[in-house]
Amino acid sequence: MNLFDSIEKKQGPRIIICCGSGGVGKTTISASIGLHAALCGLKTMVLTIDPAKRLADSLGITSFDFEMQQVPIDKLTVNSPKNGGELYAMMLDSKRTFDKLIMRYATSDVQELIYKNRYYQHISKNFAGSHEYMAMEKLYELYKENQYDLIVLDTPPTRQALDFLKAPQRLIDLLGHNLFWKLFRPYFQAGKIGFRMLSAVASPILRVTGQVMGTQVLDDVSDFFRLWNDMLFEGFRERAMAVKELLSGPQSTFMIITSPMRVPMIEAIVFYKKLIEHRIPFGGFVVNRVHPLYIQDIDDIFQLSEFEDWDDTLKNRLFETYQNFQKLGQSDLKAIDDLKNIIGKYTEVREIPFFETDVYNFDGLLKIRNNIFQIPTE
Amino acid sequence: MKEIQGIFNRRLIFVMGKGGVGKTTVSVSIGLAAARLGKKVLLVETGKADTIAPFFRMNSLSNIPVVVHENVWAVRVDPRRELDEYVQAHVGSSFIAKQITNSKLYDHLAEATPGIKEVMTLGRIWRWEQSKEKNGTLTFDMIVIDSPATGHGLSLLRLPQTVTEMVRVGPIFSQTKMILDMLQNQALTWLTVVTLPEELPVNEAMQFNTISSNELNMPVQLFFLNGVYPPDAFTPEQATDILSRFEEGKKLGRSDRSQMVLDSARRLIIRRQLQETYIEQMKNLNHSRLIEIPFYFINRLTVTEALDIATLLINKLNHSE
Repeated sequence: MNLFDSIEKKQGPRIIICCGSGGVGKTTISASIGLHAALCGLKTMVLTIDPAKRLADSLGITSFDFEMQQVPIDKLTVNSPKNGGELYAMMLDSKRTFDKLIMRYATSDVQELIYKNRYYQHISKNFAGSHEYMAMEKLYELYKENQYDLIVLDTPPTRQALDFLKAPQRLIDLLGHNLFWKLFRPYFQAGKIGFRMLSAVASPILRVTGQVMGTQVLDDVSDFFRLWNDMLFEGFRERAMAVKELLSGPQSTFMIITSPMRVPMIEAIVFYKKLIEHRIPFGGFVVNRVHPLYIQDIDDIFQLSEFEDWDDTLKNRLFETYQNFQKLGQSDLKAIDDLKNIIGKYTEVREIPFFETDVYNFDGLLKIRNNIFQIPTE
Repeated sequence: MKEIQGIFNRRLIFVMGKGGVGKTTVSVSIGLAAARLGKKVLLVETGKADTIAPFFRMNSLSNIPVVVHENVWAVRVDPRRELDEYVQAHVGSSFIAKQITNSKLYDHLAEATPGIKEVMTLGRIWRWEQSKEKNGTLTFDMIVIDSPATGHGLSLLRLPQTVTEMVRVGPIFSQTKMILDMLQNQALTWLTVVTLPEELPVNEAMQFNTISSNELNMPVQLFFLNGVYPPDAFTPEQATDILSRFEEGKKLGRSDRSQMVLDSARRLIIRRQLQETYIEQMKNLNHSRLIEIPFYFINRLTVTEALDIATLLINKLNHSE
């Protein structure tokens, strides 16, 4: 059974991770998937990033908050959810999640020092993949709470495919007992004087690195690592490993959201190949904003009786408009065909039409849901 | 609009914006326009994906500028490679440098040191800016940077400030300070933002505008509003007529050719109406520094469309004189 059908049968994954580049409507689609699951009777959480205010409005919640909020779906739709179906939404704050992790594993005096450390402030905000990693961390936390039948994660737009899958490993590597730790820690624990010693005696690697990247940076790093004791590290490491396992395990499924535009398509395909290469469970593609395909030829528009009362200028305009949209529809079709050729016929591709109005109301979300899950409407 | 004139007298143009708004299209168009005005232009690709190359029917760019059009070169910045070269220059011996850059520890540091990639990217751009030919003329008159999507683009521009605050001595400090001065010099560098007449892109453009003025000290000089539907395809009377005929046909369950023609016209009319709000918002934000770019009915833009937009930019310049 494919992912799309499995949700209704309540045989789907516990976690759906929606990936894709920015600007393709990932947040709206994640919300629609969550809505569908809730209508099918699942207690569902949509974990999102930076949603449009109007999307929050359309969900009937005042604003997305870092705390979870229940979406009053039965007030918003005539389709009341099946038994047990509830929808919740929550916004991600990666800095805060990072802070919370420190809080979990560090003693309170160390916590304060870590929060104040400039290197910490940097990695918690800017470390490559830290947003991605923290999204995963929050996901793990929610999963472990075991309150929801399904969690839908709207991932941060990532240019680097799989950044967030690599993030736990990279964090482990960075903070790890492996190489980094063994080489640095004796010096770090000796503090700044130790670092100067290090400059004199250490391998050319560290010496050059210090010179190139600046000794100030290494001082901040060393302060940070002095605070980073075994307990804190073990906690982080175990956590990162658990997150990694959760993501590549059978309880999770990835989906790729894209549009027929060139750049999102290229990124979607790169991403797909990476997922397959890493044998990560993959549920299918959703292609958003697909223009209608006008297949009929209208070269004889001037003879069409329906328009006989209109003048030629208007008929010309109509002809031009029709042809433009015809071109656009064909252009979209080609993009989707190219995708299907690459992924083969066993991977699901669901299309959502380009709606002429913005999808910022509940009916819009329902419309998207009906398209993704191919629910017939009267 | 005399503001547009300024763009062709700057050395560095950063093109910023949310993912999917058409940053590359605008970057390429600015480059082609400047080239037509006789400038030697370098287009710089910063992201992981190949975005500039397809415009010129190429698969990908390398880290060495190649000619892609008359007077236009294109290149990709590979920050990691820059860092490796930097280390090599610092060490002197290529044998030792290789040992360093191939080591796992170096790998971790390069990945983990905050901002190192941004510094390398900006450093590379700075070197192109400084680059001169043997006869003393500039290698490039204008460098257009197709920046990473907003979030990463911001950290790119924010970096020099952070670095000069964190690192107070050493080669990195002095170089970063030079870069910072270059970025904040408005006679040299212009920051431009691309957006679409839709809610999220417009909100982001507005946020970016505030951040760039208040935090970066690099105010946005031009806004490009991309994908604007034609405002006057139909008169209001015609539009009303088209919409009511479409609804009538819909009630009758028609799906014949005339209904499809009405459907396409209706899409155009309604999209334009929706765009109106956001076009207004952008005009209110900065009317005199806003350039509207029409929507192209194709999802894989090529050099043809970019040349078309270049003409539009040059026409705006001529009209402003």
